[in-house]
Amino acid sequence: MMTQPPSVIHLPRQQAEQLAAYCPLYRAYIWRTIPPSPERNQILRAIQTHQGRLVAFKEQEEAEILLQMTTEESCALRQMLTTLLALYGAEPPSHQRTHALEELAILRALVERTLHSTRGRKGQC
Amino acid sequence: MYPAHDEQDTTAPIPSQPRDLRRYLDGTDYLLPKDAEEEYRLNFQHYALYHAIGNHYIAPISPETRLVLDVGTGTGIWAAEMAHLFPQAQVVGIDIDAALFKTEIPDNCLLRGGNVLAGLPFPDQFFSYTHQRLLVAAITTQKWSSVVHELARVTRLSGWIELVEIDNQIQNAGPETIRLLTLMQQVSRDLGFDGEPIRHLGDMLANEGLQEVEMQTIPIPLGEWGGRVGSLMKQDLLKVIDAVKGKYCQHSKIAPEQFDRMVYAMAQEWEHYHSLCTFFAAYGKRTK
Repeated sequence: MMTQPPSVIHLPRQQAEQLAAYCPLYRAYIWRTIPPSPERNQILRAIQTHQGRLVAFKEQEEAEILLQMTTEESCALRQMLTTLLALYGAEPPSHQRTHALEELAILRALVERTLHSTRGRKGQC
Repeated sequence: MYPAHDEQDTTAPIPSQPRDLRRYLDGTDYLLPKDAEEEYRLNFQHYALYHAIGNHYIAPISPETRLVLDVGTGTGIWAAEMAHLFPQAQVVGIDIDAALFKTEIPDNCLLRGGNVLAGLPFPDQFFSYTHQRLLVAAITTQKWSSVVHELARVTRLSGWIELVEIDNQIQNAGPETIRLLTLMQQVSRDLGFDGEPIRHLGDMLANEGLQEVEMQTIPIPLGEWGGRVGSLMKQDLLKVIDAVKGKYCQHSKIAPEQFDRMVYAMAQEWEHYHSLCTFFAAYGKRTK
């Protein structure tokens, strides 16, 4: 069986730290709103893996992180950013909401651009 | 070798034995028994929790994690599982009673006797990941802070500490559930367990100077209405209640038969009210 090459994302330090902060928020959201299932748990583990890599990167000195992801991990990341954008978008206007939407929009654009160029096609998830 | 988590028959009912043959630890506050039935339940619970929570661990630890400690390891099944998942790590499981320890464990797993309440038999800043799960029936309210302090002591800088506990409240509780829980919570308080520290696990980690502290609230269904996970967790929780029945009946002067009727009514109610139990999970990183 042919295996898909991993997806690779380059994230500048600032965006890596932002993404690290959003991971526990998304895990909390999943636990709170989605009943236990193998599919849900797979997403949780993927996000936990991302969080681990990003938190470990914070202790390093490189200016950017190279994230290699499996298909499931890249899908989970895209789903996380899309969901968080929707959640913050539904909140009442506030400085925090605006700030979060800006961060998440940049993150999603970075992820989508990189995944699109890596895989050569959209709609993997 | 133990079966992989998806091969374990987690739907087989936990075997029972007569109450007067249950083995309890003398000279401790520990509420639960330590016998063959409890051994089976703990192993059953391990797999139920995996499906309920989504992983065996919650902290964002790296694959390069080298030294892992499991405090209150019970049968050692979590420690053995982690040794399998992290083949480069050394995983140590410690428990007050070694009688339930698994006999077949990976080479990178070590199980030994020890009591966190008496001080962990390890040097300062030794482990890169210190884990403690479901010691709510072992640690009285007044001892929680000192236990967390001890966990921090043996964890190295940049290492993670993780605590996972179950709340003494049930969500979507019907009148029978409220009735039984009120009785059990009163007895628990009388025995020194009021359940309050469980809601402040993150605060306790922060008080030890940990950073990146996260406190997660994880609702889990109880009953067939919640599918396979709900069924597993219902069975596990009912077995826990049955395990402490003797002490709670003795303390509250309620006849065991009446207690059984209350438990039965509560369990029936869970299906109707779609009741849930709540797990609290907190983790943090030691930086100073």
